[in-house]
Amino acid sequence: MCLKAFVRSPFRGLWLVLGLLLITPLAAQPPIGTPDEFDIEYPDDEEPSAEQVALGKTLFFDTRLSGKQNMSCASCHNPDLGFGDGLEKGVGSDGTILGRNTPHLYNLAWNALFFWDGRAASLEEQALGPIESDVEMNLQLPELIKRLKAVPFYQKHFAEAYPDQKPAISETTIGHAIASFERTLISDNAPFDRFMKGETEAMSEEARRGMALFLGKARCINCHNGPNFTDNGFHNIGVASGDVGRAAVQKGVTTQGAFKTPGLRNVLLTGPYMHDGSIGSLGAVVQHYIDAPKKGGKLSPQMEKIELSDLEILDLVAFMGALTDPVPVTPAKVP
Amino acid sequence: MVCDALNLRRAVLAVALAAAFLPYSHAGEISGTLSFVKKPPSVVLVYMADDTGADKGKKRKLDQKDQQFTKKMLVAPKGSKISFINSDNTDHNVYAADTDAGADFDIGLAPPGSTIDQEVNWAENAVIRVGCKIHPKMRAYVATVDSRYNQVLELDRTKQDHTFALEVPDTVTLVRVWLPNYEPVEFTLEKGGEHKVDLIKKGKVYGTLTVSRK
Repeated sequence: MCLKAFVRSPFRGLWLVLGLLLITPLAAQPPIGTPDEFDIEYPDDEEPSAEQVALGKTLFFDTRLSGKQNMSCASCHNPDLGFGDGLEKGVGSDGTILGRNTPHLYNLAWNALFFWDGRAASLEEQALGPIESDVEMNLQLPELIKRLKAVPFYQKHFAEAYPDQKPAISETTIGHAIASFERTLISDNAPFDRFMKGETEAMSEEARRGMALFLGKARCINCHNGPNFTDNGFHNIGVASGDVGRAAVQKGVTTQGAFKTPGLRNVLLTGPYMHDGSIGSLGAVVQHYIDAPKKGGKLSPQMEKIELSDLEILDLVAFMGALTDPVPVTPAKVP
Repeated sequence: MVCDALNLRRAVLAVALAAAFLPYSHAGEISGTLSFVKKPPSVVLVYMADDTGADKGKKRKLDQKDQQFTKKMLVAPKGSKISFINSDNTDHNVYAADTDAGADFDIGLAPPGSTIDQEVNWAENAVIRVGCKIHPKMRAYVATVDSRYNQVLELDRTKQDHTFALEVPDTVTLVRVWLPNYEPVEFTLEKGGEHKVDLIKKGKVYGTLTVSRK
Protein backbone atom coordinates (compact mmCIF):
# COMPACT_ATOMS: atom_id res chain seq x y z
CA MET A 1 0.00 0.00 0.00
CA CYS A 2 1.52 3.36 -1.01
CA LEU A 3 1.47 6.23 1.49
CA LYS A 4 -1.31 8.11 -0.35
CA ALA A 5 -3.56 5.07 -0.37
CA PHE A 6 -2.79 4.42 3.30
CA VAL A 7 -3.71 7.97 4.30
CA ARG A 8 -6.99 7.73 2.36
CA SER A 9 -7.81 4.24 3.67
CA PRO A 10 -10.85 4.12 5.98
CA PHE A 11 -8.94 1.47 7.94
CA ARG A 12 -5.82 3.56 8.55
CA GLY A 13 -6.64 3.85 12.27
CA LEU A 14 -6.97 0.08 12.50
CA TRP A 15 -3.66 -0.47 10.71
CA LEU A 16 -1.97 1.98 13.06
CA VAL A 17 -3.37 0.22 16.11
CA LEU A 18 -2.52 -3.25 14.84
CA GLY A 19 0.97 -2.05 14.01
CA LEU A 20 1.36 -0.70 17.53
CA LEU A 21 0.05 -3.93 19.01
CA LEU A 22 2.75 -5.79 17.11
CA ILE A 23 5.34 -3.42 18.51
CA THR A 24 3.94 -3.56 22.06
CA PRO A 25 5.60 -6.87 23.07
CA LEU A 26 8.97 -5.24 22.40
CA ALA A 27 8.04 -2.54 24.85
CA ALA A 28 7.99 -5.17 27.62
CA GLN A 29 4.67 -4.36 29.22
CA PRO A 30 2.08 -7.08 29.72
CA PRO A 31 -0.17 -6.70 26.66
CA ILE A 32 -3.64 -5.22 26.89
CA GLY A 33 -6.47 -7.57 25.97
CA THR A 34 -9.49 -9.32 27.39
CA PRO A 35 -9.01 -10.86 30.86
CA ASP A 36 -9.05 -14.66 31.08
CA GLU A 37 -11.09 -16.17 33.93
CA PHE A 38 -8.59 -19.04 34.10
CA ASP A 39 -6.06 -16.55 35.49
CA ILE A 40 -8.19 -15.69 38.55
CA GLU A 41 -6.44 -16.81 41.71
CA TYR A 42 -9.24 -18.02 43.99
CA PRO A 43 -8.36 -18.65 47.64
CA ASP A 44 -7.07 -22.24 47.82
CA ASP A 45 -7.86 -22.52 44.08
CA GLU A 46 -11.50 -23.11 45.00
CA GLU A 47 -14.04 -21.33 42.84
CA PRO A 48 -16.90 -20.18 45.08
CA SER A 49 -20.26 -21.89 44.88
CA ALA A 50 -23.40 -20.14 43.61
CA GLU A 51 -24.73 -20.21 47.20
CA GLN A 52 -21.65 -18.42 48.51
CA VAL A 53 -21.88 -15.73 45.80
CA ALA A 54 -25.61 -15.19 46.43
CA LEU A 55 -25.01 -14.92 50.17
CA GLY A 56 -22.21 -12.44 49.56
CA LYS A 57 -24.50 -10.34 47.41
CA THR A 58 -27.13 -10.17 50.16
CA LEU A 59 -24.48 -9.16 52.70
CA PHE A 60 -23.16 -6.53 50.27
CA PHE A 61 -26.53 -4.76 50.32
CA ASP A 62 -27.36 -5.28 54.00
CA THR A 63 -27.14 -2.25 56.29
CA ARG A 64 -26.78 -4.59 59.28
CA LEU A 65 -23.09 -4.44 58.42
CA SER A 66 -22.77 -0.92 59.87
CA GLY A 67 -22.96 0.08 63.51
CA LYS A 68 -25.95 2.39 63.06
CA GLN A 69 -27.51 0.09 60.44
CA ASN A 70 -27.57 3.00 58.02
CA MET A 71 -24.91 1.89 55.56
CA SER A 72 -24.08 -1.17 53.47
CA CYS A 73 -21.09 -1.92 51.22
CA ALA A 74 -23.28 -0.71 48.34
CA SER A 75 -23.73 2.71 49.97
CA CYS A 76 -20.22 3.64 48.84
CA HIS A 77 -19.73 0.99 46.14
CA ASN A 78 -22.96 1.84 44.39
CA PRO A 79 -23.53 -0.37 41.30
CA ASP A 80 -25.29 2.53 39.59
CA LEU A 81 -22.32 4.84 40.14
CA GLY A 82 -19.60 2.59 38.76
CA PHE A 83 -19.33 0.80 42.11
CA GLY A 84 -18.17 4.11 43.58
CA ASP A 85 -20.10 6.98 45.16
CA GLY A 86 -19.45 9.80 42.72
CA LEU A 87 -17.87 11.83 45.52
CA GLU A 88 -14.39 13.25 45.87
CA LYS A 89 -13.83 11.29 49.06
CA GLY A 90 -15.83 8.58 50.77
CA VAL A 91 -18.23 9.38 53.59
CA GLY A 92 -18.54 7.26 56.73
CA SER A 93 -21.74 6.11 58.43
CA ASP A 94 -21.67 9.09 60.80
CA GLY A 95 -20.96 11.59 58.03
CA THR A 96 -17.18 11.71 58.46
CA ILE A 97 -15.41 12.57 55.21
CA LEU A 98 -12.74 9.93 54.68
CA GLY A 99 -9.18 10.46 53.51
CA ARG A 100 -9.41 8.93 50.06
CA ASN A 101 -11.67 8.40 47.06
CA THR A 102 -13.87 5.27 47.02
CA PRO A 103 -12.25 2.77 44.62
CA HIS A 104 -14.37 0.95 42.04
CA LEU A 105 -14.84 -2.83 42.19
CA TYR A 106 -14.58 -3.89 38.53
CA ASN A 107 -12.42 -6.95 37.79
CA LEU A 108 -10.93 -7.14 41.27
CA ALA A 109 -10.84 -10.92 40.77
CA TRP A 110 -7.49 -10.43 39.02
CA ASN A 111 -6.13 -7.90 41.49
CA ALA A 112 -3.20 -8.51 43.83
CA LEU A 113 -3.43 -6.05 46.74
CA PHE A 114 -6.38 -3.95 47.89
CA PHE A 115 -7.10 -0.40 49.10
CA TRP A 116 -5.30 2.57 47.54
CA ASP A 117 -2.23 1.73 49.63
CA GLY A 118 -2.44 -2.04 49.15
CA ARG A 119 -2.72 -2.76 52.87
CA ALA A 120 -5.03 -5.75 52.36
CA ALA A 121 -3.47 -8.85 50.82
CA SER A 122 -6.76 -10.42 49.80
CA LEU A 123 -10.24 -9.38 48.81
CA GLU A 124 -11.52 -11.30 51.86
CA GLU A 125 -9.38 -9.15 54.15
CA GLN A 126 -10.39 -5.98 52.32
CA ALA A 127 -14.11 -6.79 52.60
CA LEU A 128 -13.94 -6.80 56.39
CA GLY A 129 -11.80 -3.66 56.76
CA PRO A 130 -14.44 -0.94 56.20
CA ILE A 131 -16.95 -2.78 58.42
CA GLU A 132 -14.64 -2.51 61.41
CA SER A 133 -13.23 0.94 60.63
CA ASP A 134 -14.59 3.40 63.18
CA VAL A 135 -14.85 6.16 60.58
CA GLU A 136 -16.52 3.98 57.97
CA MET A 137 -19.15 1.39 58.96
CA ASN A 138 -18.02 1.24 62.58
CA LEU A 139 -19.17 -2.23 63.59
CA GLN A 140 -16.97 -4.77 65.36
CA LEU A 141 -17.15 -8.21 63.79
CA PRO A 142 -18.30 -10.10 66.93
CA GLU A 143 -21.33 -7.77 67.02
CA LEU A 144 -21.98 -8.36 63.32
CA ILE A 145 -21.82 -12.13 63.82
CA LYS A 146 -24.31 -11.80 66.68
CA ARG A 147 -26.64 -9.77 64.45
CA LEU A 148 -26.46 -12.24 61.57
CA LYS A 149 -27.00 -15.24 63.84
CA ALA A 150 -30.26 -13.67 64.97
CA VAL A 151 -31.64 -13.71 61.40
CA PRO A 152 -33.15 -17.06 60.29
CA PHE A 153 -32.32 -16.29 56.64
CA TYR A 154 -28.62 -16.00 57.43
CA GLN A 155 -28.64 -19.05 59.72
CA LYS A 156 -30.06 -21.12 56.86
CA HIS A 157 -27.99 -19.71 54.01
CA PHE A 158 -24.62 -19.65 55.81
CA ALA A 159 -25.20 -23.29 56.83
CA GLU A 160 -26.00 -24.21 53.22
CA ALA A 161 -23.15 -22.22 51.69
CA TYR A 162 -20.52 -23.35 54.22
CA PRO A 163 -21.51 -26.86 55.33
CA ASP A 164 -17.90 -27.71 56.32
CA GLN A 165 -17.40 -24.60 58.46
CA LYS A 166 -18.22 -24.72 62.15
CA PRO A 167 -19.54 -22.23 63.07
CA ALA A 168 -20.95 -21.39 59.66
CA ILE A 169 -21.26 -17.68 60.49
CA SER A 170 -17.78 -16.35 61.21
CA GLU A 171 -15.38 -13.59 60.20
CA THR A 172 -13.90 -16.02 57.67
CA THR A 173 -17.18 -16.93 55.99
CA ILE A 174 -18.50 -13.35 56.00
CA GLY A 175 -15.31 -12.12 54.31
CA HIS A 176 -15.29 -15.05 51.89
CA ALA A 177 -18.93 -14.56 50.86
CA ILE A 178 -18.59 -10.82 50.21
CA ALA A 179 -15.32 -11.31 48.30
CA SER A 180 -16.87 -14.15 46.29
CA PHE A 181 -19.66 -11.84 45.16
CA GLU A 182 -17.19 -9.06 44.36
CA ARG A 183 -15.15 -11.44 42.18
CA THR A 184 -18.20 -11.88 39.95
CA LEU A 185 -18.19 -8.18 39.01
CA ILE A 186 -16.48 -8.84 35.72
CA SER A 187 -16.41 -6.45 32.81
CA ASP A 188 -14.94 -8.06 29.70
CA ASN A 189 -17.14 -7.19 26.73
CA ALA A 190 -16.43 -3.53 26.12
CA PRO A 191 -16.15 -2.13 22.57
CA PHE A 192 -12.39 -2.55 23.05
CA ASP A 193 -12.80 -6.31 23.66
CA ARG A 194 -14.99 -6.66 20.57
CA PHE A 195 -12.48 -4.66 18.55
CA MET A 196 -9.71 -6.98 19.72
CA LYS A 197 -11.77 -9.94 18.57
CA GLY A 198 -11.82 -8.48 15.08
CA GLU A 199 -14.99 -6.38 15.15
CA THR A 200 -13.23 -3.41 13.62
CA GLU A 201 -16.19 -1.06 13.80
CA ALA A 202 -16.71 -1.68 17.52
CA MET A 203 -14.45 1.29 18.29
CA SER A 204 -14.80 4.70 16.72
CA GLU A 205 -12.04 6.26 14.65
CA GLU A 206 -11.31 8.58 17.60
CA ALA A 207 -11.05 5.65 20.01
CA ARG A 208 -8.73 3.80 17.63
CA ARG A 209 -6.48 6.85 17.40
CA GLY A 210 -6.68 7.11 21.19
CA MET A 211 -5.61 3.49 21.55
CA ALA A 212 -2.54 4.15 19.41
CA LEU A 213 -1.70 7.11 21.65
CA PHE A 214 -2.37 5.05 24.78
CA LEU A 215 0.13 2.43 23.64
CA GLY A 216 2.61 4.91 22.21
CA LYS A 217 3.15 8.63 22.57
CA ALA A 218 1.05 9.14 25.71
CA ARG A 219 2.85 6.26 27.55
CA CYS A 220 -0.29 5.31 29.52
CA ILE A 221 0.77 1.71 28.88
CA ASN A 222 3.74 2.19 31.25
CA CYS A 223 1.42 1.49 34.19
CA HIS A 224 -2.07 0.87 32.77
CA ASN A 225 -1.15 -2.40 31.11
CA GLY A 226 -2.39 -5.98 31.01
CA PRO A 227 -6.00 -7.08 30.43
CA ASN A 228 -7.35 -4.87 33.20
CA PHE A 229 -5.23 -1.86 32.33
CA THR A 230 -3.29 -1.94 35.59
CA ASP A 231 0.17 -3.19 36.50
CA ASN A 232 -1.22 -3.78 40.01
CA GLY A 233 1.65 -1.58 41.10
CA PHE A 234 2.20 1.51 43.23
CA HIS A 235 3.46 4.78 41.78
CA ASN A 236 3.89 8.37 42.87
CA ILE A 237 2.17 10.30 40.08
CA GLY A 238 2.49 13.73 41.64
CA VAL A 239 -0.96 14.26 43.12
CA ALA A 240 0.03 16.57 45.98
CA SER A 241 -2.33 15.50 48.73
CA GLY A 242 0.17 15.17 51.59
CA ASP A 243 -0.76 11.50 51.84
CA VAL A 244 2.27 9.15 52.05
CA GLY A 245 0.23 6.31 50.48
CA ARG A 246 2.00 2.97 50.16
CA ALA A 247 4.87 4.14 52.41
CA ALA A 248 2.59 3.84 55.45
CA VAL A 249 2.29 0.12 54.72
CA GLN A 250 5.68 -0.76 53.30
CA LYS A 251 8.92 1.18 53.68
CA GLY A 252 11.24 1.65 50.75
CA VAL A 253 12.49 4.17 48.25
CA THR A 254 9.75 3.18 45.84
CA THR A 255 6.74 3.61 48.08
CA GLN A 256 6.69 7.27 49.21
CA GLY A 257 3.55 9.01 47.94
CA ALA A 258 2.78 5.97 45.79
CA PHE A 259 -0.76 4.71 45.25
CA LYS A 260 -2.18 1.69 43.47
CA THR A 261 -2.66 1.91 39.72
CA PRO A 262 -6.43 1.60 39.30
CA GLY A 263 -7.72 -0.61 36.53
CA LEU A 264 -9.33 1.38 33.73
CA ARG A 265 -12.23 -0.87 32.80
CA ASN A 266 -15.40 1.25 33.04
CA VAL A 267 -13.25 4.23 33.98
CA LEU A 268 -15.81 6.52 32.36
CA LEU A 269 -18.25 5.52 35.11
CA THR A 270 -15.90 5.81 38.08
CA GLY A 271 -15.09 9.49 38.47
CA PRO A 272 -13.92 11.58 40.17
CA TYR A 273 -10.37 10.34 39.77
CA MET A 274 -7.08 9.92 41.64
CA HIS A 275 -6.66 8.60 45.20
CA ASP A 276 -8.04 11.85 46.60
CA GLY A 277 -10.78 12.30 44.01
CA SER A 278 -9.27 15.66 43.13
CA ILE A 279 -9.75 15.45 39.35
CA GLY A 280 -13.23 15.45 37.96
CA SER A 281 -12.85 14.47 34.32
CA LEU A 282 -10.76 12.11 32.23
CA GLY A 283 -9.56 14.98 30.07
CA ALA A 284 -8.22 16.71 33.18
CA VAL A 285 -6.58 13.43 34.26
CA VAL A 286 -4.68 13.27 30.95
CA GLN A 287 -3.71 16.94 31.38
CA HIS A 288 -2.30 16.04 34.82
CA TYR A 289 0.00 13.48 33.19
CA ILE A 290 1.24 16.19 30.81
CA ASP A 291 1.77 18.76 33.58
CA ALA A 292 3.10 16.70 36.53
CA PRO A 293 6.44 15.58 35.02
CA LYS A 294 7.24 19.20 34.14
CA LYS A 295 6.87 20.21 37.77
CA GLY A 296 9.50 17.69 38.90
CA GLY A 297 9.49 16.15 42.36
CA LYS A 298 9.94 12.54 43.32
CA LEU A 299 7.69 11.06 40.70
CA SER A 300 7.64 7.47 39.56
CA PRO A 301 10.15 6.98 36.70
CA GLN A 302 7.14 5.71 34.72
CA MET A 303 5.90 9.31 34.55
CA GLU A 304 7.66 10.19 31.32
CA LYS A 305 7.42 13.70 29.92
CA ILE A 306 4.74 13.77 27.26
CA GLU A 307 3.15 16.38 25.00
CA LEU A 308 -0.35 15.96 23.60
CA SER A 309 -2.58 18.27 21.59
CA ASP A 310 -6.14 18.98 22.72
CA LEU A 311 -7.38 16.69 19.95
CA GLU A 312 -5.11 13.90 21.12
CA ILE A 313 -6.42 14.28 24.67
CA LEU A 314 -9.95 13.86 23.31
CA ASP A 315 -8.87 10.78 21.38
CA LEU A 316 -7.43 9.25 24.55
CA VAL A 317 -10.68 9.95 26.39
CA ALA A 318 -12.58 8.32 23.51
CA PHE A 319 -10.41 5.21 23.89
CA MET A 320 -11.02 5.09 27.64
CA GLY A 321 -14.72 5.37 26.83
CA ALA A 322 -14.34 2.26 24.69
CA LEU A 323 -13.44 0.34 27.86
CA THR A 324 -17.04 0.69 29.04
CA ASP A 325 -19.01 -2.48 29.73
CA PRO A 326 -21.25 -1.84 32.74
CA VAL A 327 -21.99 -4.70 35.12
CA PRO A 328 -25.68 -4.37 35.98
CA VAL A 329 -26.53 -5.61 39.44
CA THR A 330 -30.03 -5.74 40.83
CA PRO A 331 -29.88 -5.05 44.55
CA ALA A 332 -30.39 -8.15 46.65
CA LYS A 333 -33.54 -8.51 48.74
CA VAL A 334 -32.28 -8.05 52.26
CA PRO A 335 -34.00 -10.23 54.92
CA MET B 1 46.26 -61.25 19.88
CA VAL B 2 48.87 -59.60 22.08
CA CYS B 3 47.63 -56.25 20.81
CA ASP B 4 43.96 -57.05 21.73
CA ALA B 5 44.93 -58.07 25.26
CA LEU B 6 46.88 -54.84 25.67
CA ASN B 7 43.93 -52.77 24.49
CA LEU B 8 41.61 -54.60 26.87
CA ARG B 9 43.94 -53.96 29.80
CA ARG B 10 44.16 -50.29 28.85
CA ALA B 11 40.36 -50.02 28.63
CA VAL B 12 39.88 -51.66 32.03
CA LEU B 13 42.51 -49.34 33.51
CA ALA B 14 40.80 -46.29 31.98
CA VAL B 15 37.41 -47.27 33.41
CA ALA B 16 38.95 -47.99 36.83
CA LEU B 17 40.73 -44.61 36.86
CA ALA B 18 37.59 -42.79 35.78
CA ALA B 19 35.60 -44.47 38.55
CA ALA B 20 38.25 -43.64 41.14
CA PHE B 21 38.30 -39.93 40.28
CA LEU B 22 34.57 -39.36 39.95
CA PRO B 23 33.34 -37.42 43.00
CA TYR B 24 30.09 -39.38 42.95
CA SER B 25 28.36 -41.80 40.71
CA HIS B 26 25.00 -41.18 39.03
CA ALA B 27 23.84 -44.67 39.69
CA GLY B 28 20.18 -44.16 39.05
CA GLU B 29 17.24 -41.83 39.04
CA ILE B 30 14.08 -41.02 40.86
CA SER B 31 11.04 -40.31 38.77
CA GLY B 32 7.58 -39.28 39.79
CA THR B 33 4.12 -38.11 38.92
CA LEU B 34 2.22 -35.25 40.52
CA SER B 35 -1.54 -35.42 40.03
CA PHE B 36 -3.77 -32.59 41.18
CA VAL B 37 -7.53 -32.62 41.59
CA LYS B 38 -7.74 -28.91 40.70
CA LYS B 39 -5.49 -26.23 39.27
CA PRO B 40 -1.90 -27.13 40.16
CA PRO B 41 0.51 -24.73 41.87
CA SER B 42 2.81 -22.71 39.65
CA VAL B 43 6.01 -24.39 40.82
CA VAL B 44 7.28 -27.50 42.61
CA LEU B 45 10.73 -28.18 44.05
CA VAL B 46 12.05 -31.74 44.32
CA TYR B 47 15.43 -32.38 45.94
CA MET B 48 17.55 -34.93 47.76
CA ALA B 49 17.88 -33.36 51.19
CA ASP B 50 20.82 -35.46 52.40
CA ASP B 51 23.31 -33.99 49.94
CA THR B 52 25.23 -30.83 50.87
CA GLY B 53 27.56 -30.42 47.93
CA ALA B 54 26.14 -27.30 46.24
CA ASP B 55 28.77 -24.81 45.07
CA LYS B 56 28.49 -21.78 47.37
CA GLY B 57 30.98 -19.79 45.30
CA LYS B 58 28.82 -19.88 42.21
CA LYS B 59 26.69 -16.76 41.77
CA ARG B 60 23.04 -17.45 40.93
CA LYS B 61 21.01 -15.09 38.77
CA LEU B 62 17.38 -14.03 38.90
CA ASP B 63 16.26 -11.77 36.08
CA GLN B 64 13.18 -9.56 35.60
CA LYS B 65 11.58 -9.10 32.21
CA ASP B 66 8.11 -8.13 30.97
CA GLN B 67 7.16 -7.31 34.56
CA GLN B 68 7.83 -10.87 35.68
CA PHE B 69 10.68 -12.78 37.23
CA THR B 70 12.13 -14.98 34.50
CA LYS B 71 12.12 -17.99 36.86
CA LYS B 72 9.43 -18.97 39.30
CA MET B 73 12.04 -20.37 41.67
CA LEU B 74 15.77 -20.08 42.19
CA VAL B 75 17.77 -22.64 44.18
CA ALA B 76 20.73 -21.13 46.03
CA PRO B 77 22.62 -22.48 49.06
CA LYS B 78 23.11 -20.38 52.18
CA GLY B 79 26.32 -18.37 51.87
CA SER B 80 26.07 -17.93 48.12
CA LYS B 81 25.14 -14.72 46.29
CA ILE B 82 22.20 -13.93 44.04
CA SER B 83 22.44 -11.34 41.29
CA PHE B 84 19.09 -9.66 40.77
CA ILE B 85 19.10 -8.40 37.19
CA ASN B 86 16.61 -5.96 35.70
CA SER B 87 16.35 -6.65 31.95
CA ASP B 88 13.06 -4.75 31.75
CA ASN B 89 12.59 -1.23 30.48
CA THR B 90 10.89 -0.25 33.73
CA ASP B 91 12.16 0.19 37.28
CA HIS B 92 11.88 -2.72 39.63
CA ASN B 93 12.79 -3.70 43.16
CA VAL B 94 13.37 -7.00 44.92
CA TYR B 95 12.61 -7.57 48.56
CA ALA B 96 11.86 -10.35 51.01
CA ALA B 97 10.20 -10.13 54.41
CA ASP B 98 10.10 -13.65 55.80
CA THR B 99 10.58 -13.42 59.54
CA ASP B 100 10.43 -17.20 60.08
CA ALA B 101 13.37 -17.75 57.74
CA GLY B 102 15.17 -14.56 58.84
CA ALA B 103 15.09 -13.23 55.28
CA ASP B 104 14.67 -9.47 55.39
CA PHE B 105 16.22 -7.51 52.55
CA ASP B 106 15.32 -4.78 50.07
CA ILE B 107 17.66 -4.01 47.19
CA GLY B 108 16.02 -0.59 46.70
CA LEU B 109 15.22 0.89 43.31
CA ALA B 110 16.62 -1.29 40.53
CA PRO B 111 16.68 0.73 37.31
CA PRO B 112 16.55 -0.93 33.87
CA GLY B 113 19.83 -2.67 33.07
CA SER B 114 20.98 -2.89 36.68
CA THR B 115 22.41 -5.90 38.53
CA ILE B 116 22.32 -5.89 42.33
CA ASP B 117 23.84 -8.67 44.43
CA GLN B 118 22.32 -10.06 47.60
CA GLU B 119 23.95 -12.59 49.93
CA VAL B 120 21.84 -15.58 50.89
CA ASN B 121 22.21 -15.07 54.63
CA TRP B 122 19.00 -16.53 55.97
CA ALA B 123 17.94 -19.98 57.17
CA GLU B 124 18.94 -23.15 55.34
CA ASN B 125 16.29 -25.40 53.84
CA ALA B 126 13.84 -22.52 53.67
CA VAL B 127 11.75 -21.40 50.73
CA ILE B 128 11.10 -17.67 50.83
CA ARG B 129 9.06 -15.49 48.54
CA VAL B 130 10.64 -12.48 46.89
CA GLY B 131 8.65 -9.71 45.29
CA CYS B 132 8.80 -6.25 43.76
CA LYS B 133 7.43 -3.39 45.84
CA ILE B 134 6.47 -1.51 42.69
CA HIS B 135 4.73 -4.45 41.01
CA PRO B 136 3.21 -6.70 43.68
CA LYS B 137 2.03 -9.32 41.18
CA MET B 138 5.68 -10.14 40.50
CA ARG B 139 6.55 -13.08 42.71
CA ALA B 140 9.25 -15.72 42.77
CA TYR B 141 10.67 -18.12 45.34
CA VAL B 142 14.22 -18.63 46.53
CA ALA B 143 15.02 -22.02 48.05
CA THR B 144 18.08 -22.21 50.30
CA VAL B 145 19.01 -25.74 49.42
CA ASP B 146 22.53 -27.19 49.69
CA SER B 147 21.76 -30.21 47.56
CA ARG B 148 23.17 -30.68 44.07
CA TYR B 149 20.32 -33.03 43.25
CA ASN B 150 17.35 -30.75 42.83
CA GLN B 151 14.79 -29.96 40.20
CA VAL B 152 12.41 -27.00 39.88
CA LEU B 153 9.25 -27.84 37.98
CA GLU B 154 7.39 -24.88 36.51
CA LEU B 155 3.96 -26.36 35.95
CA ASP B 156 1.56 -25.72 33.10
CA ARG B 157 -1.46 -24.80 35.20
CA THR B 158 -3.93 -25.94 32.56
CA LYS B 159 -2.80 -29.56 33.15
CA GLN B 160 -3.43 -31.65 36.24
CA ASP B 161 -0.80 -34.37 35.78
CA HIS B 162 2.93 -33.68 35.71
CA THR B 163 6.00 -35.91 35.65
CA PHE B 164 9.65 -35.46 36.56
CA ALA B 165 12.90 -37.43 36.60
CA LEU B 166 16.04 -36.63 38.54
CA GLU B 167 19.41 -38.39 38.34
CA VAL B 168 20.68 -39.26 41.81
CA PRO B 169 23.63 -41.24 43.21
CA ASP B 170 23.10 -44.24 45.50
CA THR B 171 24.50 -42.31 48.46
CA VAL B 172 21.42 -40.09 48.93
CA THR B 173 17.98 -41.32 49.93
CA LEU B 174 16.04 -38.45 51.55
CA VAL B 175 13.49 -36.96 49.13
CA ARG B 176 11.89 -33.59 49.88
CA VAL B 177 9.14 -32.01 47.81
CA TRP B 178 7.98 -28.44 48.31
CA LEU B 179 4.85 -26.84 46.82
CA PRO B 180 3.64 -23.31 47.66
CA ASN B 181 1.00 -23.30 50.41
CA TYR B 182 1.07 -27.12 50.63
CA GLU B 183 2.39 -29.18 53.53
CA PRO B 184 6.00 -30.12 52.72
CA VAL B 185 6.63 -33.76 51.84
CA GLU B 186 9.66 -35.76 53.02
CA PHE B 187 10.42 -39.46 52.80
CA THR B 188 13.27 -41.92 52.38
CA LEU B 189 13.45 -43.82 49.13
CA GLU B 190 15.92 -46.66 48.51
CA LYS B 191 16.81 -48.07 45.13
CA GLY B 192 13.96 -50.14 43.71
CA GLY B 193 11.46 -48.51 46.06
CA GLU B 194 8.24 -46.61 45.43
CA HIS B 195 6.41 -44.07 47.56
CA LYS B 196 2.95 -42.57 47.27
CA VAL B 197 1.81 -39.61 49.33
CA ASP B 198 -1.14 -37.20 49.43
CA LEU B 199 -0.50 -33.54 48.65
CA ILE B 200 -2.26 -31.57 51.39
CA LYS B 201 -3.17 -27.91 51.62
CA LYS B 202 -4.97 -26.52 54.68
CA GLY B 203 -5.85 -30.03 55.78
CA LYS B 204 -7.44 -31.04 52.48
CA VAL B 205 -6.06 -33.42 49.89
CA TYR B 206 -5.49 -31.62 46.59
CA GLY B 207 -3.40 -34.25 44.84
CA THR B 208 -1.04 -37.19 45.06
CA LEU B 209 2.66 -37.67 44.48
CA THR B 210 4.05 -41.01 43.36
CA VAL B 211 7.82 -41.46 43.23
CA SER B 212 9.85 -44.52 42.26
CA ARG B 213 13.58 -45.12 42.21
CA LYS B 214 15.64 -47.28 39.93
